Amino acid sequence: MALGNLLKESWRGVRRHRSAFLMSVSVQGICLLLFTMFAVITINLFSLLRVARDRIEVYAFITDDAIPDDLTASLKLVAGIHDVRYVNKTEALQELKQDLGESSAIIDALGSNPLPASLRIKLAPGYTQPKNLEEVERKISIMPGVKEVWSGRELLTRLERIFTTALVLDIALLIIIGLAVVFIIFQSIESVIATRSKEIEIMRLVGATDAMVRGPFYWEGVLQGVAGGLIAFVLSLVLYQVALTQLPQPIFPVIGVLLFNSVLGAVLGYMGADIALGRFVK
Amino acid sequence: MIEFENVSKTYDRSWHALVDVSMKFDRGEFAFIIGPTGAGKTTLLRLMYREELPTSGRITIMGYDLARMKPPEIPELRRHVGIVFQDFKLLNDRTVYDNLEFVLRAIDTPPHLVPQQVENTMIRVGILHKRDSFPHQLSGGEQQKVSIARALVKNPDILLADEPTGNIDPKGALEVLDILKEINYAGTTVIMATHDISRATQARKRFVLVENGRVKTDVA
Repeated sequence: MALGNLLKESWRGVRRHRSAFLMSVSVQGICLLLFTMFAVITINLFSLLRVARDRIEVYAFITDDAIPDDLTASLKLVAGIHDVRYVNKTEALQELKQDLGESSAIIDALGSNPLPASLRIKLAPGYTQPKNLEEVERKISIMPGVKEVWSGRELLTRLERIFTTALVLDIALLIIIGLAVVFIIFQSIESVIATRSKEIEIMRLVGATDAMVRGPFYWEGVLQGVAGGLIAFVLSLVLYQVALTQLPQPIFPVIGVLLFNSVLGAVLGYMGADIALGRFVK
Repeated sequence: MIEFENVSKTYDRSWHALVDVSMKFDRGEFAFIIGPTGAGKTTLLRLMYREELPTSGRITIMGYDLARMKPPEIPELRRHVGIVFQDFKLLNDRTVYDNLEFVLRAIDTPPHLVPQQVENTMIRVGILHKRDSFPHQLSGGEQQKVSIARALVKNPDILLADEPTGNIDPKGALEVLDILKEINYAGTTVIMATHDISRATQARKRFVLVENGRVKTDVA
């Protein structure tokens, strides 16, 4: 059947079952919104994780008798170390004062400088994973003149764990919500098939091909899925506007979310229609 | 054009709807299949439009061996065959025009040909003045004319009518019969199943009498 005819028939079907169609796409929209929200949270977590990885720096606190240049030269030989910067005791104190801001008077009250000198080590991109980081830390810590090593690895590990959990949750949610949406569309198309059984019978008897008979139902399923996806997109955009007032610069890939919801809706719609047709249109 | 060779049809392994039927219909022929209710008339027609397959025997229609057809060939065959049902099977939410247009769209007729083809068919069957009416606004006879028009709109080579006069008044039945004769006169092969033996014999056309699934008489 020509595309125009197919769309016309599908649209006629949608118009005839307006309320059922709206009900179905609304429920799908809410289901997909739930997934979209989780996916956007995961994207933000990933972005946070990437920033943390980019900014990660290993602090090697050194003893007073250590020679920074020698240590720097040795460190640069360790695999994964990109750059080493020496921060003496005075610079460390100034940094702390800057960080403390108005409360820096506390430091002045101490009289002497309690902070050790350190080497700030930047890692090569592939070495910011907790496992690699641990290895680099171990190598640095056994070097003579190094008193203590700190990198914020625990925080990074925790962030990675949260991200992985969110990712697993997303996949589980995608499967559950995907099945739910397929089921909703299946039921909707099933009822459309039931009410149009006479049309189907006539089409078959007059010589319509299988594609012609089934085509409008596939389109209707896809249309429902895409409409549900678009509802989810619009609602998530509204929620993003709300989030903007509460959170500092959350990430919301507008085009990505729009495309993903539309394509996901279309695929789920097609699947729902396919199952319904497989069961009720032989 | 249509040939049955030793065709039998058995349902549920025990009910013999047709037994060893052999017959032939030529192009342009008008034939009645007559017989009482349950004789096997509808089964014969259903076999002809390949809604059923014979349990044994061979049916060929316009060169198609129905039992050996591949599924994609079935729509091809059905485009050559128009079917008229006793219960009309019209789409009640569509006008007369839309019922006819639906068929042409279903078989992918080029859109620019559709209006003219629908209109010509409505004129041919005498229902042009009812083009915007819905089926429930029509009498039984008029509905059957629409049903005939729907079968005719795609210009079939064969028209199969299953008790087309069964649900309509005598005047309407005569009109329907006249329309079928005119269609046949224009070259379409018409096969009409009916239990109304007197009407069939009065029409002075070939009639095949079927009883208990067997052809009892075949009078040309």
